[in-house]
Amino acid sequence: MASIFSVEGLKQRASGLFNRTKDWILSGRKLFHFDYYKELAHRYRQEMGVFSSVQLIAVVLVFLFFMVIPLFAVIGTAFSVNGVFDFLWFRLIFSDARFWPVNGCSPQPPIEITGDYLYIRGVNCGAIINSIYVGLATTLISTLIGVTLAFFMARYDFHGKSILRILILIPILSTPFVSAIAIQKIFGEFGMLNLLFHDILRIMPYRVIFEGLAAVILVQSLHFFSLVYLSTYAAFLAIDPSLEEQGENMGAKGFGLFRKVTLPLALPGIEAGAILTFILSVEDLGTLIVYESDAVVRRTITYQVYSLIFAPTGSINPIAPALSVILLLIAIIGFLFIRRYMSLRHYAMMSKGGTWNPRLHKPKWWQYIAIYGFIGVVLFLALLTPLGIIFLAFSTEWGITILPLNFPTVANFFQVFTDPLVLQSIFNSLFYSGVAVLFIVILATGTAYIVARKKLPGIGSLDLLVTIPIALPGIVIAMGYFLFFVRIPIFTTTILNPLVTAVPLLIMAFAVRKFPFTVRSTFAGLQQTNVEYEEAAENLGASRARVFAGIVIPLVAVSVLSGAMMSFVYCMSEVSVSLILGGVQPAEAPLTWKMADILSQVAAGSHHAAVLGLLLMIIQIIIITIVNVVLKSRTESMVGL
Amino acid sequence: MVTIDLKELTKRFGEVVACDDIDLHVEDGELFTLLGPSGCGKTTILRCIAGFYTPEEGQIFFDETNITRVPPNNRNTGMVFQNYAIWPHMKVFDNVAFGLKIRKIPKVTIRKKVEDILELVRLGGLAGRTPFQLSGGQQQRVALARALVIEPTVLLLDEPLSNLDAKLRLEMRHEIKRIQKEFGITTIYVTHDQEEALSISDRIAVMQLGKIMQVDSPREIYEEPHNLFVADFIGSCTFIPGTIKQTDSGKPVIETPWGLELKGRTTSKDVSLRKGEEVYVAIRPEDFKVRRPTEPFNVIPSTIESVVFTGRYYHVYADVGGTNSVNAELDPDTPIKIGDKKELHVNHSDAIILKIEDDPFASHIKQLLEGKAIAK
Ligand SMILES: Nc1ncnc2c1ncn2[C@@H]1O[C@H](COP(=O)(O)OP(=O)(O)O)[C@@H](O)[C@H]1O
Ligand SMILES: [Mg+2]
Repeated sequence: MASIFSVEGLKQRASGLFNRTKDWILSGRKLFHFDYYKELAHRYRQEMGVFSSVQLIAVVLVFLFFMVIPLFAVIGTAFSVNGVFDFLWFRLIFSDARFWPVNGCSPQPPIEITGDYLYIRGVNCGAIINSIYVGLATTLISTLIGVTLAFFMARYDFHGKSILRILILIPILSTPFVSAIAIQKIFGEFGMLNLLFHDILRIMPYRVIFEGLAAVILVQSLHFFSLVYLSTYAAFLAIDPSLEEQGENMGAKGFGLFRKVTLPLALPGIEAGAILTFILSVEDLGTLIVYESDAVVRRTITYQVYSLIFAPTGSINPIAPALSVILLLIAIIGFLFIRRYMSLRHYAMMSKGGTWNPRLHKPKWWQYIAIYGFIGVVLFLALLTPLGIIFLAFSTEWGITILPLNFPTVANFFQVFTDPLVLQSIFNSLFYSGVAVLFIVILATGTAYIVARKKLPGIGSLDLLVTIPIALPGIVIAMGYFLFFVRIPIFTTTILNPLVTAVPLLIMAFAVRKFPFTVRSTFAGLQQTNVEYEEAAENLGASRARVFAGIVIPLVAVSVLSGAMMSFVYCMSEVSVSLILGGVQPAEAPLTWKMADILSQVAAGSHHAAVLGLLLMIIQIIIITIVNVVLKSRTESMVGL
Repeated sequence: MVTIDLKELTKRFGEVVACDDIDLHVEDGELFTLLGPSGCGKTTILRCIAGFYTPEEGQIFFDETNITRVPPNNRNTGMVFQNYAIWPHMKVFDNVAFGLKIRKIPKVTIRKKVEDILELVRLGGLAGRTPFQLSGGQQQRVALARALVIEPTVLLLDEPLSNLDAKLRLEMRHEIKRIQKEFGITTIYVTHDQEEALSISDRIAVMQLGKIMQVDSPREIYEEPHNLFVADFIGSCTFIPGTIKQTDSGKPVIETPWGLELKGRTTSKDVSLRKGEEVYVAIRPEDFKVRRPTEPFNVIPSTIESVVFTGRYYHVYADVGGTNSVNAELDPDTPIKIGDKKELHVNHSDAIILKIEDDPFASHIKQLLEGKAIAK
């Protein structure tokens, strides 16, 4: 298995792509024969039946209307001027210093020491390069941390491991949006860390300040390393221990064994996690909103697109769609890489069959120190976020002291929960997420069933259609809604026009965007369920609908449920679409919009926002605990792949 | 009940022809077995009959009704899957009652029928168990009960005993046969185990590479193999190469490369042998005897190469003609040891002459024999 991180790997992949394209063109010839269609029609009738057909049509329609067409509206707008094909907007973008380094990058050094201040700020090369830079840096850091952590957890047996396993998941419980609020405070000029390690303990010779893109990278890395960890951990566990033993027999030991045998085998899993991190990092809007007072942070594609849409009137700067297309392109290229790996990984897993006991070592004393040292640091940083949120939520001031002032107090809770608009937004989010998950469950179960069980041409495309939302930046989808449902006359007076009401579109956006979590979880459940259970029922006379309801659903119920719960969690913490569509009418806005609103408006904004962040985290912790402990769920639903 | 007919049935998976132009007739109430090595297409045929595969060509008839394109849930077949496919989320009772509920039979009748059938498969009293609480043999019986309770027109069994241990397998063989006869239900039974096939079936179709090599009763399959594959697959024949020397009077004589003459017979009437034609003579181990002085023909001088005493017989490998080995089970009355020169004898009716011409399996046998010769 060649890696995309090597020249050989890329070459191999390119020639693979070439051959597939050739085959595809050659096989295209049969499309001109009538018999091909006749046979195809017969096979569809045979395999699908009325029941699956209805499900299929419903799914395709939903995704067509609330994802594909809006995206094409964005692309169409990006490539045209007054309805005529034109690259104008792209030319404008690539000649504008805000987006492209036409005059070179900012001369400010990425790292600078002035007096006893250490500034870590990263580069500033225009929105496009900035976004990619943030994505790459976040991915690199998250991967280093996540893989090391996964290796320790998967291969060593040490005290406190079971507690660690749960603690490590905590970062993934919040959204970067909530983490950012806490991290901004903790890492601030006179924040907890500087006061503690610089002023008091004097371990750090400098006062460390994260600014610009570095601040974003910090927040995101502290969040996304747990994603890479999850996906890598699963990959390590899936490795056949006998392969490693064989390596040992041939003389490989210790780190050599890890590098030559273990790592290559786990690479698909690692790369999938890494690329997903890249995509999510590039499309993340929450962190940028928290740091929006920093001019360099605003200079990122996602933020630019966000600021170029004026939701209340639905007016969009004509450059925005073109910027969106660039964002979309970056994300989709990443996604297609993952897809190659996932299919390979599934194959590898199937060929093995059962599960085995992974190899666990008892660490030696010095390994103990390394493990505890590393995990200690990571955990400390990771737990700062929830700690910071708790401090903020229960205090009224936290700027120049290690511990917050007036701590603990419930004053914030009083103010926040007596605000009718806040209560409304909580209700809104619960309502939208609930309805969206209902849609998701109804459609995803059927879709996963079709993808897992029906062997028909076009199934691959269906799979792509329902899993690609994970790679689609929410902000681009939101823009698509404005371009499609506002500007097409037939929708203007309907409830699908976001200017009339944002509710249906918010729900559909949630449903489409968080669909993959449930569909992948269900799909994984189906793959582990023997087809013969269904055939036995069919053989005894059950209709397709009856097989689905009486056999399939009960057998994969746990997978569906855990996927649905994760979809719900991610709906509740959705940021991009919420911020844009929520801006039309505050009374309809979801929780995350209200948080952003509070952050920017109220004087004690971060304390109030932290209260809501805490609420969000508690909901997420409860649900993820249920999913993990009670339902013994799998990573598919957590990662959505 | 029904007869089953397959007419020119062909099913492909991409390049693989899983079953190739199959013609088959199964009698009403017959226990018919598809026997062949793994991957020869047995399951494919069974699944075509159940309706899970649509054949590319050919038709399937239950009596005179063409059911080739009838969906599986309207065929009224009862299938027992290799891994039983007992639904883990239902109790034994609900598993068995499933097919009846679909047929909208009154609750009281369902209860009665389920109880009866569980009694029949000797699972009385276990209706309330969950599948996890059952042994392999019990799961097997539940699967059988579930298929039988709907009174299917045909019963389809796909290697039903392959997941059981040896002792249970013997027991279930009798059990299945008993139940099948009790119901008088037309049954197709798939197995790769020749002993199982021979002991349970009314008739057997021996398959290889998607084709049917021979259809006959167990006895005929064993005693009258029509071609090299069947002779090789059933039992463990010794093949001796030779050319036809004489063809008259129904007792053809062949001559081996080292000049030995053997009288033999052919197994089907429409085989015509030419003088000088190359053939193989297939002889079963138990048909070799130590020669008695009264026997003038079919005397095979041999040297014992290895010998194992099994209690009932000596199992020996003996060199014949310097290039070939025979595999024989000899009478334990006279002691035998390695290096002994023994004259073996085989009855002309036990020396089966099989043509090489047009037999695709001949090259395989040839390789096998050459391999052995080189090893010497
Ligand atoms: N669903 C399938 N897809 C592709 N090939 C198949 C499928 N089912 C069977 N085959 C192929 O068809 C041949 C016959 O298979 P099968 O009928 O299962 O054999 P048997 O049951 O005799 O072991 C094999 O070569 C097998 O690989
Ligand atoms: Mg089979």
